[in-house]
This record gives sequence, structure tokens and C-alpha cells, in this order.
Amino acid sequence: MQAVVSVRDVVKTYPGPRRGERRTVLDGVSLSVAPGEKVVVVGPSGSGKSTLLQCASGLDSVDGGSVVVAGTDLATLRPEAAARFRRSTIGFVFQSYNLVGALTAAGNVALPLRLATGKADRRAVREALGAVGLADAADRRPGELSGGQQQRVAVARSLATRPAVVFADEPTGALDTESGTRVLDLLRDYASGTTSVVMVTHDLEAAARGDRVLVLRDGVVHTELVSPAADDVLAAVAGARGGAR
Amino acid sequence: MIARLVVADLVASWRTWLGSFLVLFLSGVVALVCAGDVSTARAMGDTEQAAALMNHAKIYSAMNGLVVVGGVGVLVGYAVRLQRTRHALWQVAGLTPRTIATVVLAQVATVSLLAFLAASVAVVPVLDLLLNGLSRPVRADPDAPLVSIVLSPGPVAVAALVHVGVAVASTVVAARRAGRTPALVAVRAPLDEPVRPGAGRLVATGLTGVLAIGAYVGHLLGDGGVTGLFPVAFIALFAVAAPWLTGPAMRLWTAALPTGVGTIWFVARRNALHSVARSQAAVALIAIAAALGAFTGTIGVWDDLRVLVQGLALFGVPVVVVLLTAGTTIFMGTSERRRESAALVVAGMTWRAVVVAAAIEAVVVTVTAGLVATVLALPATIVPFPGQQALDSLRPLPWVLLVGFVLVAVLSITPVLSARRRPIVRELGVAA
Repeated sequence: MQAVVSVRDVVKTYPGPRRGERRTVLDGVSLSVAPGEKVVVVGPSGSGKSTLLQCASGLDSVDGGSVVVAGTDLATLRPEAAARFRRSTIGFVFQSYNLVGALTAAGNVALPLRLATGKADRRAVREALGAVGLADAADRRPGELSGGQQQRVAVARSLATRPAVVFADEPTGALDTESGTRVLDLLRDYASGTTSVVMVTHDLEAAARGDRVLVLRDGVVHTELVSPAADDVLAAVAGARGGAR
Repeated sequence: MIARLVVADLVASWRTWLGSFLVLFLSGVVALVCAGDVSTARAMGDTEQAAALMNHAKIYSAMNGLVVVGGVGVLVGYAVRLQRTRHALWQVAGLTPRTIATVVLAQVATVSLLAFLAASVAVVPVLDLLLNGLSRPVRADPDAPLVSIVLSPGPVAVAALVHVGVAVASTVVAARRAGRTPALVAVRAPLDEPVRPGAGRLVATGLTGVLAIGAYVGHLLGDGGVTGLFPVAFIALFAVAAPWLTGPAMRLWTAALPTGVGTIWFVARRNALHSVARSQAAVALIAIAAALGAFTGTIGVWDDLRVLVQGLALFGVPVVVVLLTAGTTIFMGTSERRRESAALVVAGMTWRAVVVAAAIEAVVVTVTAGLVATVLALPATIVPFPGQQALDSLRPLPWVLLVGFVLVAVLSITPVLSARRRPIVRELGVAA
């Protein structure tokens, strides 16, 4: 089966503290995600988790290696084409929600649908908001919603177009336990069998919900676990911390 | 400790204060021109020309003073709103509401003093030119150049004091509001509630309404005196009633074009309505600038180039101050616009579409301002001033609105283009 996300030997560097110096954040990382698979990336702070997610989703460029999503090499896309590709193929959920403040919850969910089809499918929007338990909050703006509610709108928006893959960066990082659990359940349940999820998290309980868990350390894959228990993830992360540079 | 906080915070959030600095710089120029009027008049002794200069100082300081009070009040109020999280953090750190208000007032005093000093450096070399040009319309013999122009320390000191005093006085309300920021905002983003007009504004609207209608009736009855200033009274009425009028006006006319027209229009309209619900400043100020421009039309300054230049010398600065204030309020929201643009792109819009949406938003803002300004200018068209045609008062409107549109469009589109050049993750504030 062809992978939905195929990251090969990706290298990413950022400017270092001294002039001309580069700091390597990802050092030859590879990752392959099958259709419908839920992959979780964990690791100590500064291990390159979020950078991996940003590169894999095309939000940031890579300095080496390749990223192919749904059969398209992201490096070949010009900015406008990249935006259209993201619209049709990728969903995003961020720790800081990043909803459009001017639009209501319904407007935010409708936006990618409008962009994709030229009109808002009201029934689809209602269903998406209903699925995340926010049917009553459809007319409220992000500023009028709690953090947990905003994140659920973000999940509904990311999944409304039935994307091939959803990238979630610390989706529960700013939420209380109950709201966080609800968002994770949504990502697990509402994502259809064909939608893959790549999630970065510090929450080891959340990580244990993944089909596969990648533990990153110093920009390289340290350990890979398949359907692990929370204790296994904890032990792997502790191992990565112990050996971190 | 307060002094350190004042300076550190001004340096850290210089972008927020830059607009206030620019407006206060212009008002500093006005204050120095008035000081030049007074100094020169005193040096001349009791002559007709000296009296004309003193008269110019009075007219100029009164007109611009009112505009600066309004402009600085709007800008600092907006700055306080943008810095709610910071003020809440100060509370958490142990500062009392009174101390926070004092810090904000001290910041305004510092910025206004710096602006006055900068204006002094800019004005002194060109004082001859400014005084000769600006006081020309009120002098008995406009073609005879002023001689022995001076700038004495006494009037300059008074101008500096008045300048700083007016700036500080116009921000007392905003400073108090900063002190009352709920400490909870330090840890949780504040709910995005529209500002609701209070009882004070209701009373002010009633009073200015009575004033405006009274002046207009007096004008219609042929009073011929101070009631001829009714356009200013109507502008004042709009300035206090703007929170009730601006949003509905925008909602009403934009509803004529259904949201189904296209996603870009849908997003642009929503953005414009959302912005106007939080702050009417940009729309209201462009409308006021256009209406002030129209006021110059009512007194016939557009008849020929010579009179036009004289009219602009007398009335141009308030229009520029108001337009600059409008631009500044948009500039202050730059970082928010960059983040929102990135959020739209992540939601699936192309950067090109976001740029077009920003341009359409600028059109929405300008058209709304134009509609309001036209309504404000209409009373003067019903019974024109002596020697005027009915539509003379509307002639300056398109020009001021064109400048306003260019200003809004540039300030709205530039942040989007700038955000486009950086990785989206940085604009979204997502950590690497």
C-alpha cells in the first residue's frame, strides 16, 4: 500500500548563535505513514518533533531529503499550488488553535469547504460541528469560546474536507485533562479509516493511543514502537532523555 | 522602579507607540508654529500683522488641539487594548491599578515630550517657510512676507507644556482602563467582546446632537454667525456616535452583495465587520477626515489654486492628523493581520487570495467612510453657503477618500506580503 506521507532522510538546519553557524534540528529523519494510520512523535524538548511535523506537512522547507504527501513531492509545489494542495489533502491542528478570529465556529469549518467547492455545504458544517459537540456554538467567534472548544472547532475544520492526513502539533498542550481527552478521542474516532494522523505530543498517555510511536532524540529517530502501552512510551522517552546530548 | 518600567516597556513595544509618536510629532509642529506666531507677534509690537499672527495662533491651536485630543485618545486607547496581557502580567507581578495607570500616563508624557523635541529639531530650520505659508490666509496683506521671525523660549516652553498636557489629559480614560485590566487576562486570552458605548457617550451624543441641529437651524434661518460652523458640529456628533453608526452602516451596504459571490468577498467582509466591531477607529477617522475636507469645500477654498493652497494651509493639517491617526490604528494591528493571514492560508486560502481579500477590505472600509462622510456633508448642500454651488461641499470628498484608500490598502496589504515571505509556522507563532 502506498504511503500517504513519505519523509526520506530529511535534514533541517536553523541559523546558530554565531554568524555563519547552522544548528541541525533534523538529521536524516525518515518516516512513512500508511493510509488511516495514527503516528505519534514524542521526545525531549528540542529533539525536533515540531520541526519534523512542520517539514512533513510542507509548512516549512527542508535543507535535504524529500517529503512526499499523497504522491506529491512538496518541494515541487510553488506557493499558490502548495496552498491548493494543503486545502485538498492536509488538515492542521495546532496547540494555539489558529482559527480565523473574524469567522464564527461555523465559518471556520466552512472555510476550507468553500475554498474547495466554491460554496459552503451547511449540512456538512453542521455535522462536523455536531460531531465535536459544538452544534450550539456554531454562531460564536473563537474569542467567545474556551480553549477546549476552540480546539474542537480546529479539529472539525481540519477534518471537514476529509483530508488524506491531519498533522496535529501538541493539540492538547493548552487544554485541561478532560478537554484534552475529548480532543484526542475526536482525532481518533472522527478521522475516517482513510485519514491518517501524525501527532506531536508531550503527553505520553496521548502518545499511547497511536498505532505507531516515534521517539526522537537530537534530530534523529531514537526508537520506534508499535501499538505501545503508556509505560513502554515512558521508558523509551526516558531512554532518549538519558542519552540526549 | 516606575521610570525603569516606563522606559523598558516603551522600548519593548515601540511599534505600538510609533503611531502615537507620529501624531504627536505633527501636533508638536503645530504647537511650535503657534509658539512662532506668538513670539513673532510680540517682537513686532502692536501692529495689524501682529494681531493677525495672534489670531492665527488661536485658530490653529483650537482646530488642531481638538483633533489631537481625539487622535491621541483613540491611539492610546487602542494601544492599551493591544497590551491587555502585559498590563495583566504587571498586576500579577504586584503593581496596583493606580501604578499601572501612572505608568501608562508616564509613557504618553515621555512619547509626547520626545515627539516635541523631534518636532523642534525639524521645525526650527524651516520656521520662516512654515510661518509665512501657514499664516498667509489670516494676514491683512498675504503677499507681504513676515519680517524678523523669532521663536522665544517663553512661548516654546508654554507650547511644550500644553502639548504634553493635552496628550496626557486625552489618555486619562485609557490609562484608567489599563489599570482595571482583569489579572486573569495574564493566563487566559480575554474574551473578544465588542466595546459597548457607556452612559457618558450617550449623554455626549445627545448634547452634540442638540448642538449640531441647533447650529444647522440657525444657519438655515440666515444667522450668518458662528452657526456657520455647523459642519464641525455634525462631525463632532458623528465622532461621539461612531460606535453606534459605523458597524451597522458597513453591515447594511455590504449585505447588498451576497456572501455567495465568492469566498474572498466572504472573508473580506467578515474581516472588515469583525475589525469594525472591535474598533471603529479606522472607518470613523477616514470619514471624519473626508468630512473635514468637505468643510473646506463649504468655504470655497476649491475655487482656484491660490485659495485652495490657502485653505489647505489653514485646514490641511487636521485632515492629515486624522488620516495619519487612521493609518496608525491599522499599522498597530499589523502583527494580528500577519497571524490571521497565515491562519487563512493554513485553512486553505492561497496567499494571492489573502492579498485580494485585504484589498477588498480596504475598499469596504473606504466606501463605508465615504458614505458616512457624504451624509455628514449633505446638510451643506441643501442650503449652500453664500457664493457656493449646492455640490461644492462634496467636491473634496473623493480626493480625501482616495488618499484614505491608498493608506488603508498599503497598510493592509503590506503585512500580508511580508508574512508571505516567511515560513507560515513563524507567523502562526508555532514553536520549531
